Amino acid sequence: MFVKQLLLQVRKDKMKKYILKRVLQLIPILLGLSILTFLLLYISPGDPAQKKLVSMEAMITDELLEQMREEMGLNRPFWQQYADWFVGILHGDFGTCYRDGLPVADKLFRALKNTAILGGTSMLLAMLLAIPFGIYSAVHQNKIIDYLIRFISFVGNSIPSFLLAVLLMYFFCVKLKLFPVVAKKNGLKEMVLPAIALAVPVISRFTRQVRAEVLDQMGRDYVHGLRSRGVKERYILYRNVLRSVLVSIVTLAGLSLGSMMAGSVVIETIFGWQGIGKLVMDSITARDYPVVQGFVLIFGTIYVMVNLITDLSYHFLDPRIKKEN
Amino acid sequence: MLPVICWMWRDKMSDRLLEVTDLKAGYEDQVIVDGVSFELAENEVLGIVGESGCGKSTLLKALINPKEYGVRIFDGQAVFQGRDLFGLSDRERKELYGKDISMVFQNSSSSFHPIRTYKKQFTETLKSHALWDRESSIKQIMKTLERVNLKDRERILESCPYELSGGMNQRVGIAMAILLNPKLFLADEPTSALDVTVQKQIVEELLELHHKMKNSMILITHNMGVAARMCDRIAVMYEGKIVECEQTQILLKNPVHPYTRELLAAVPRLGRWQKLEESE
Amino acid sequence: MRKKVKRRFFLFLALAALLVLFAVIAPYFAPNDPYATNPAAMKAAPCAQYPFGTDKLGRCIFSRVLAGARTSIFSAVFLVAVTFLIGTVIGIFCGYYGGIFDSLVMRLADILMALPEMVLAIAVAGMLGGSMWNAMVALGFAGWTTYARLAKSQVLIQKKEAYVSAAQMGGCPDLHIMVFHILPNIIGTLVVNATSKIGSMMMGFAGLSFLGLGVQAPKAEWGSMINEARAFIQLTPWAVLFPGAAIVLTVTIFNLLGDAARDLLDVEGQNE
Repeated sequence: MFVKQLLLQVRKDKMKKYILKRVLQLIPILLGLSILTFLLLYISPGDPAQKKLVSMEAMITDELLEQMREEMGLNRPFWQQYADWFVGILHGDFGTCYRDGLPVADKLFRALKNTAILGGTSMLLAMLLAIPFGIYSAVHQNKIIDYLIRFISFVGNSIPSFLLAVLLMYFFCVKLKLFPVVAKKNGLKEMVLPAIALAVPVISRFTRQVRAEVLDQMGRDYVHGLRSRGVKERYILYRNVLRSVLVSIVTLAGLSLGSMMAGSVVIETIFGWQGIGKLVMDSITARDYPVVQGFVLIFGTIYVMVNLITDLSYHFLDPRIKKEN
Repeated sequence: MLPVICWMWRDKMSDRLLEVTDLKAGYEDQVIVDGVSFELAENEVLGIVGESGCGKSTLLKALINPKEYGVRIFDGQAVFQGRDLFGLSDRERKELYGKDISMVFQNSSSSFHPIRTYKKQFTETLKSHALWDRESSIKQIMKTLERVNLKDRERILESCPYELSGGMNQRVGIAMAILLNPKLFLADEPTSALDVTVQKQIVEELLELHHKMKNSMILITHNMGVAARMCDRIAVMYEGKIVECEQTQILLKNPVHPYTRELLAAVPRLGRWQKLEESE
Repeated sequence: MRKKVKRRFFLFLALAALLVLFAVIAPYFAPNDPYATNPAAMKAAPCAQYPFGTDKLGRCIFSRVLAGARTSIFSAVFLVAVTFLIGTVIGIFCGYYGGIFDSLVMRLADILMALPEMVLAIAVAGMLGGSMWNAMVALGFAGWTTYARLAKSQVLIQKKEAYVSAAQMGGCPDLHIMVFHILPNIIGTLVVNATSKIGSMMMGFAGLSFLGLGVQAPKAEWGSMINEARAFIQLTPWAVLFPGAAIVLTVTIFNLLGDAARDLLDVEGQNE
């Protein structure tokens, strides 16, 4: 039903032009992102050659430094270094790790797959719980169950995810011995607790937002109109109110992706899940900066794309939203 | 000012469709509707005329669904075809409203979901009253749209409220209200938000519908001219009470209450009244 | 209704103010030196001398929690205040003048906002190396953008009002208009927005410290304390629980304040 509407719209030329325009607008942002990422290497004192030597745990002598600088091409003009790096990125070459010289891209994308699995499951879990909870809470406003749900979501929002993860690990892995303490492989059992830990802050935010939106919509004139026509409560809630709330659910989902990306760094480190978050933390500890750069670039690009998709979807979800200039 | 009870005056079929007795209603602690009583017969149009703040909206909200609008009923009764409107269960309410009692609001498009097509919303109402039939319902809807003089009916059905003009939306709203052939039709300022020319059209169309469908109407308005055109009887409301209630002709010729006189005097161009009387 | 919302806001404002006050004076109430290690009493359970027990190095957790209060609360409030100031000033200028400056700044903001806040913070803190100030820079790096955007949009709304053009025609200098005419009208919304960010900033800071990218040992900070203690959670659960409870409590109060502030703004907006 939705998809039909969607496809019909996309076929229109005007729509295609608009999508193209938005995609083109992405380019300067992605470019800026790449420059930012490239510059990250220079924000701390010491040049990249020095950093690489430190990462390799080699002794730092002047000779070695000069050698490394030549090797890394640091004596060339700045913009040329950037251009080379950028072209490399476009070819999928994210450089090599400082530590072991292995290509960064391989490590990153393999780890990304694992994170995607974890994140996807977590997001699904969050949606499946938060939306019904939010609706239920709104429909039964000011009853005990409403207060309970609101209380739990408030608390969930105030607990840092790392604390929750540590506590979960303590109770379920150590005390109850239900799950392995250190994840030996990225399997289903190992995924349970990290997924829960990742999902909780998202569920909390989602539930509160959904509840607020549903309540807001319930007070609108059209709901009075629907009731005055004797429309079934079920129809009012699921066919009308939810339709209006959809826009904000999609927005939230996009934003939650961002917080999940950050959360994955912490959660994966605690539970030992071999995802991109853990990889980044390990790399930071080992001063393996190319990996950090790659991490920023990948996550940034994904986030930008997702935001674009959610923006474009608004046009379908609420045709009244005019395109921004 | 004593509450005035309207007596039935017609010698036509005189079943009391709606009987409101001593209704006191308002919000929180405030009494807005202060002891209102009136009766409505079948096939009759009653106008409730008054200025803003006199309580006519609250009266309407009390009759539709007090709980929904936060209206408190302090005292009084409202009986529709022998049923107590304030004592209905939720399920009875859902069955009654939309089918036997329906309404049109001042801003019709705001009583519909802004971004769903009218087709979906009409279907949904029919389904809620278990009157949806795959073959005949669309035809029924189209016929109703025709009755309100809407052209381009397919396009309108496939449109959403925000895409149509005020006049069109108002007509669709009326169509929705008459779709299930209600016995009582409540109209709250149905034309006030429209351009003057469109107003006149809608007024005439409503009158025609009333003649055809032989339903009863309560028309709430602050526009004495509209009331004079459409109503069999007019109840003048002031500060929560009905101060005068009389057949339209009699009210216009010999208003008793001073407020009624003020209202009539405030209507410009008295010559128009004479023309209206002649055409009746 | 409005009175109730107002009262709630001031209640939480008072609580938050108390919390900040507590942050200032708390370390003076510490029974023990937060940095003094005691090999004799390592991983000790809560007792009279050590109300919250000791950590793996024998340091008094109660004292460290109190000391950490200063670090955690101050850094969050300070960070929000600074980013708020910078962001708001930039935003007002962008909104008022528009032009190239506006476009450039908004472009920069777009790029910085292309990354989820914490992701960028982790990367920047990771590159800079762990320290309290680096963590603050990392979090503030992109933090100012939300305030700038909000300030700009508010200024744009105000610019359409009659009083602005009247002031301009009257020869009032631009800066004067911005500070004395426009700012008072928008400051409410802006401050409320900032208030609601304190809680998340606090959690972000604790998170960075937990990862080792923020406050470094042996400095006391709740996030880093939890990190230090998590390996020994079986032996010394109190070393995790007490700092954890402190974080949750503090963030809760600031979140409640943020909520109350937003409700107040909603209600005030309705009355206009």
